[in-house]
Amino acid sequence: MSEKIFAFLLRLYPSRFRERYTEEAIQLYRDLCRHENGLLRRTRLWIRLLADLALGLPQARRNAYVSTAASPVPLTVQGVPTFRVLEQKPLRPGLFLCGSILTVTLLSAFSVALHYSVADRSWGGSNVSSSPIAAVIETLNRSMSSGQDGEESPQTDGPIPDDGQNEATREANPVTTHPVGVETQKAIGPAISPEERRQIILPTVEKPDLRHPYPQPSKDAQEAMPQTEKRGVWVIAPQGVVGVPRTTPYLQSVTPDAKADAHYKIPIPSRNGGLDAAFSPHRSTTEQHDCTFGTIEALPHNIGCVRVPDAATAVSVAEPALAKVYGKRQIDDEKPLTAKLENGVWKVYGTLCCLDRNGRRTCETGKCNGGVAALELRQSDGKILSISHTK
Amino acid sequence: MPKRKLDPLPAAAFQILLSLAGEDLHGYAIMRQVEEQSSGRIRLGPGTLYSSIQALLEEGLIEEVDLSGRSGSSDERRRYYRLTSTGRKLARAEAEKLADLLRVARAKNILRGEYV
Repeated sequence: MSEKIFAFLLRLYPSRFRERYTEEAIQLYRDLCRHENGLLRRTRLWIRLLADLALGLPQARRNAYVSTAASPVPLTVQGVPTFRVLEQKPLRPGLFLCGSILTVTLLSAFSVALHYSVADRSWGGSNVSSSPIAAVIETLNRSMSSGQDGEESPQTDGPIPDDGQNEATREANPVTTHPVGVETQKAIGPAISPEERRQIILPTVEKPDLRHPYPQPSKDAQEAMPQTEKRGVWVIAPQGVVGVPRTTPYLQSVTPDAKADAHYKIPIPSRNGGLDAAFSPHRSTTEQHDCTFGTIEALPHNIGCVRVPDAATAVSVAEPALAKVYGKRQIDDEKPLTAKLENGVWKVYGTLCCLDRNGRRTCETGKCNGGVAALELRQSDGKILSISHTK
Repeated sequence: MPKRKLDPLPAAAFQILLSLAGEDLHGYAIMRQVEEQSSGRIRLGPGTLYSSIQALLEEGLIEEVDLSGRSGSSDERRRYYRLTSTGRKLARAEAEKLADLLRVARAKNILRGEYV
């Protein structure tokens, strides 16, 4: 024990001194202890040691501790650069004082810089005074909560090419809103690949405790994903009455085109009220999100939020879009527009009409030459896939 | 010209030089030798001893000796030190200076009989 204390006291000495003499000094201490037996003599020894350690310290700090042994390699070799080793210089007490003052000054300046309020326009876009740390935390919190709180959905703000088609889309869906409060036009972003979708959904369902109040539904959805995505169904929620309504807005908020929410596998009940009774809680939930609850024909046995539930809706969406491209007069001439659902895509066509020999308008098949406007509209989210005109 | 650390030569350093005048010694042996040659009046502790040894090494007054092959030096942790010619000269000069002081003290009848 006393030896450890002695070794600890040697730490007061410079590191170079300790490197060179610690073992030897400890050995010397052992030798001293061997000759100084008894409490009184041992106490006297320690008094001497303490006094000696204090007296020897200034001398120890004055020493340079340069290597006194013969160097095995010449210090100056032709063509080899040599450097002055500052470590071998003794540190003067004044340097410790200067170093301490400099450290405190730098820490103080850093602390002031961190807490100094600045008007930041680049983060958040508002002229809000906040420190850099506060701004970063605010940004992180915003991105973390965006998928859950429903106030905004930054991931849906992808660039939409302004090629006329999207403009038509904006006019086609003037009132439909995203379930989390973002307009449908923004929610309908550019098409994303299956891999991109996986990258969006997987991290979300893998951390249900962060984004979802009910971890089990997300866990079930994650486990079901590999099997279901082969059929084009990306996320299948469990049968739970609680889980499905809560999962709906949650998944919508994390997908750029609000498609991932659309499909839920719910077993068709065979008793007690049939399909309507079983779907009623989900119906109310989706209707709250401005969706029509119905069957997605492209995905058998799956139901969910459908933005274009019937032909009339498809026509009402397609008509202004086509008019924007081909002119209102042209589209009026092609009325009535008809819609046909094929594999989850509404195909809207105009009607080929012309004037007969008597100058009357006729739309009979085979009596007119020309083409009609055509528009493809995705059933699930209302995205306009193509606009063309046949010849 | 920078001031030498051992100018004037401290008493502890001078005692160490004197202890090494007879033979090569390690640290503990130097401590014992100093205590003996000073009749117990000077007892060097580890701090003073090794600080002084380091200063003497840096001034080239003593040197470290490799005694690993010598019999009786089985403890590899011990380092042995030897007086250099420069150290011997300095010790002699210091002793002569003290001798001059001794003569003066004797002439002034300051010293008692046993030193005369």
